[in-house]
Amino acid sequence: MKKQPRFLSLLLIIGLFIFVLVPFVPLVLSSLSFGWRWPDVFPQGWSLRAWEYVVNDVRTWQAVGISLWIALIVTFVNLLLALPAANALVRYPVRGRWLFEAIIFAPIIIPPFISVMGIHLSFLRFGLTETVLGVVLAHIAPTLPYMFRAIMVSYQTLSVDWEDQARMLGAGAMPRFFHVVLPHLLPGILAGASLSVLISLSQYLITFIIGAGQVVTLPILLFPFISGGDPAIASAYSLLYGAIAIMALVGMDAALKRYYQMSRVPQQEKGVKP
Amino acid sequence: MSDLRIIDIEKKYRSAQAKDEASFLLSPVQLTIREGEFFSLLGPSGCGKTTLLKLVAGLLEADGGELWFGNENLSNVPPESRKFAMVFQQSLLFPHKTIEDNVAFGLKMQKVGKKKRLNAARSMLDHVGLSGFGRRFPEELSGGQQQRVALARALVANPRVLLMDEPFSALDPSLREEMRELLSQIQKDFRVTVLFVTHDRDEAFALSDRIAVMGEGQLRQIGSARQLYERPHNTVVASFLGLKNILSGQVTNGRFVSSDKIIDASVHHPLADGDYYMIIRPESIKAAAADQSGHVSIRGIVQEMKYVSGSYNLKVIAETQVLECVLTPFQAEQTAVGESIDLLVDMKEVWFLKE
Amino acid sequence: MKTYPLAALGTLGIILSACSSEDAGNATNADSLLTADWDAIQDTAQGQEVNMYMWGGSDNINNYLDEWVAPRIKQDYGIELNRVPMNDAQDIINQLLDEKIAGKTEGSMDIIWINGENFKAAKDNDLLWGDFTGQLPNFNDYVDADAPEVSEDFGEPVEGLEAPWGKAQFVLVHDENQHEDPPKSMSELGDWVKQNPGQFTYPAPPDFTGSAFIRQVLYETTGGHEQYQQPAADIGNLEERLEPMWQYLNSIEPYLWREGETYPESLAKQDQLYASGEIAMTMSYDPALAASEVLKGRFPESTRTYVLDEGTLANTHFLSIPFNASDKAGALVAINELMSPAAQTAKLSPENWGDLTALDLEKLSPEQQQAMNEVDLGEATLSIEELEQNRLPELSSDYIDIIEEGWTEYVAKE
Ligand SMILES: Nc1ncnc2c1ncn2[C@@H]1O[C@H](COP(=O)(O)OP(=O)(O)OP(=O)(O)O)[C@@H](O)[C@H]1O
Ligand SMILES: [Mg+2]
Repeated sequence: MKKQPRFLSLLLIIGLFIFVLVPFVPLVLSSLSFGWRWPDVFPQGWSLRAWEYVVNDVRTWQAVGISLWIALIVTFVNLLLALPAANALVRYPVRGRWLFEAIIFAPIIIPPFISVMGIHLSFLRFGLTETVLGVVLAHIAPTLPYMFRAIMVSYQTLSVDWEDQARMLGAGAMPRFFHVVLPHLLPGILAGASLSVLISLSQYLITFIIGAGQVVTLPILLFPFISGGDPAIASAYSLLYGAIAIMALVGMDAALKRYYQMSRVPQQEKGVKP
Repeated sequence: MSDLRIIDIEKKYRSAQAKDEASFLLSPVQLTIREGEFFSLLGPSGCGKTTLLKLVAGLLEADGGELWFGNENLSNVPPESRKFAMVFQQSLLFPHKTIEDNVAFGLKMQKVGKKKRLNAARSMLDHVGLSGFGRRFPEELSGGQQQRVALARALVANPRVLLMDEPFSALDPSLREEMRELLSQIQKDFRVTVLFVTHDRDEAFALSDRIAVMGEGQLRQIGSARQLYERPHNTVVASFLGLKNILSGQVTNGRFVSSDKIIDASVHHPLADGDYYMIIRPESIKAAAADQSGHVSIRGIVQEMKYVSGSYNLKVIAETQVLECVLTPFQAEQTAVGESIDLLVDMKEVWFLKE
Repeated sequence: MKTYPLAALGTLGIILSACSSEDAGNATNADSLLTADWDAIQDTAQGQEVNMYMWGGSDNINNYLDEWVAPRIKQDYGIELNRVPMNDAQDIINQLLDEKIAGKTEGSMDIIWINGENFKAAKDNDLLWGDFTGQLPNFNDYVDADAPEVSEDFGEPVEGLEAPWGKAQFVLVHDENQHEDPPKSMSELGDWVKQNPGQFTYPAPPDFTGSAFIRQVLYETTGGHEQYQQPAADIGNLEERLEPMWQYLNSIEPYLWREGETYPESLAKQDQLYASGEIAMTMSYDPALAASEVLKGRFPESTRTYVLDEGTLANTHFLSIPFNASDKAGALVAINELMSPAAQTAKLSPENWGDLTALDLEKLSPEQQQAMNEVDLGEATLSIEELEQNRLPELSSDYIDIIEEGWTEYVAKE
């Protein structure tokens, strides 16, 4: 009786693991393959050609750095925009709120490159093209909705009573935010930030149009190989891309855990039991 | 001379759908709560108790009126600067902070040094019987313990007024009893002014120096527990306080005759002729056949008998009128459900109301 | 609160759209480079950083530029050559179009790699700098400027706006061990297909290579390429002339892979069918591609390429300089260097790229010729001479559109 659910959950975890890992297997094989003809299950030979190219190219590592840097700034800016917006939208009866939400969520529904093609001319005039700043601004459109959504949901689950309680203990606006609101929002912020980072990392077209070849992120290097039909190098880049994305997520998660641990140190030295 | 004075504070909630029509109106409130007093707001659910409390706290913005503490006008002071404290129905302990840090929070906001505030927090935890729990996290405490922490946290910064909104209603009855005693004790120790909200009559009676009975957004009557119970101003207050034996009738020439004619007796107080309600406290009804002077006798049939800690509560039906009375076990043993019973009402203990 | 955020957004939009700078025609003294002497150009070029925007989907080509060309240009001329990877040359043109509209005068693109449609679009929209090829010593010395494959790009006069960098030619690919004697004309192919049903197919247009195969059919079944060297609109009875081509394609259809019910949607798909042995032949517009697929182990080692007896289509790919290039002198020097016999010889080697030279072999010195001839092209690739002797000129894009639409109507649908 007791064993069964455990067994079941173990099975589920293994299943999930396989589900997540299986798509990577062909990528790994293809990145290392030499002569992999279609009906064969495994390649006939192995070659490090693709990995040598990817790893030895300085551009690869510059691109990794720039990709992460952009994703980080984008996420930070999203946070600064989404926090007050979500707060206002959840807490106050804003008139025309559906319109506001529609504008924020539009980039998810309308392909963002349509709007980006539109702003390309304006960015050109402002001298924002070919700059990291321009790319960051352009990445905000497709990423902000997710950050906004995640934070809004978190806000909705935060009863005003908590802030009222802090107020009654003498906490002004800033302490209230840092002691009550932020800790509650953190998991939501992490979810939003993860999506924001992932989506920013995966932007090709927007980066390409606004960055115009001068802001070279990982997808900019990767795409020509996908469409150009060099599956080995495309696979190697994809794997590298996946690894970077996972590292970014794990890193953020670890940062959150550290934060919680830091605010929870006393638990380790929990001494007197009454 | 640090009384809390509520002067004509009022509040209107607008309903979301129908325009203009207010969904709830708290009529202007006039109230002075004396320094060190334990004052309760008692009323049925939805009568506006929380609303009034939050207006005092400043968490809601009043539509009009003023709030004074001593000779300081607090009407436009934000809640965090009023030096009040508040305990809610839920303990609302910050989940990511230890119990100690939770209790010390108010002092931290006043920029008290870490060592000092933790010491204060620990001694306050002592007071509420939770010494040694300081390093735990809220989720590691029981509901009653959490509420004690909330109380300690509210008191640690020496608030001028402690506001409490049904703080014990989520606890089970025996625990509630215990918490009342603790609160009573602490209130005496710290001599803090308390404004307490409850819909539980016994709780209000047990704790309060004075009570305001509320109903439908209005203060109906203010007074001590005894004043309210024995001299309610109107039938609404009376029935809310558990005085269910309300008989309508008429007084003519010093005699009261109830509408269903079960009572016809002379009135002890001088009353002008007219329509009246007669209130009989359950405790002033006895089971006896023999007539005694100044008593009226009523014959009825026992409809329900309930044993409640040491005595019996009976519902007796006389004509159409249901009377509630409290009998000793000895008296109750003489009768049973369905049997007829003779009751005596002491006319010196009844009370007449115009409305 | 209330509607302020909306108002703010609206205002931002208005500001963004209102700010349109009008100063476009900022003619720099760069134009003097079109007449300056070469030494002066080299002096100006010194220390410039030249961005070369080009398709970035081949490790060979990327490595050739990053590791062979760039260090040499840096050392010999003090020019920093920076390759910028692109997904599609079309993107380059769109980018330049926007820059032109926005009046951007200091562009980042110094050299672009284009040909065909993209060149025509760039030329029609004035996106290219000017007639610069006459300034390049290597162009003057080693290129036959009057040869049709240099003076025209898919039928569009080049007018010195772009310099030839390399050449491509249509070849058919087969496995020597399976079929020793592959069909060398369209009529032979017709018979071969009937004898070997299911063994042949071609990528459906608008796949570039599939479309080229159909042009190949056009030349052979309608009486040669010469008649199509004029604009399509000038031929009154074009539909009638194309009729035999549709007949031919429909006649082989039942004997194709999957009985012609479907066609591979891309060359990559067709190559996969060939690699797995499902079909016996594939094709390519890059004569060295099969050899490199063999090197990568994807094609069997007995893979060979060949051209048709009447010749196959050939085109040239070019390097050009956009109107707003910031470092035009550097671009000139870099292009000149990319056209040098040494760079072209290195480019020819399959280890680097395997791209045919744009230079006229006869204008090279004997040593230079020898160096070129000694490059091992791989067994699968034909010799330069054999390819050169069997070139046919390309059609202009108006024909290509007509043929691709016609194929859908007369072949795919029937
Ligand atoms: N934000 C609000 N908007 C509109 N109406 C409200 C709002 N808050 C409360 N009300 C209404 O005001 C009335 C009084 O509410 P209040 O919370 O003061 O009642 P209460 O006496 O505290 O009741 P309880 O004992 O159930 O807590 C209720 O009818 C309630 O529906
Ligand atoms: Mg309430």
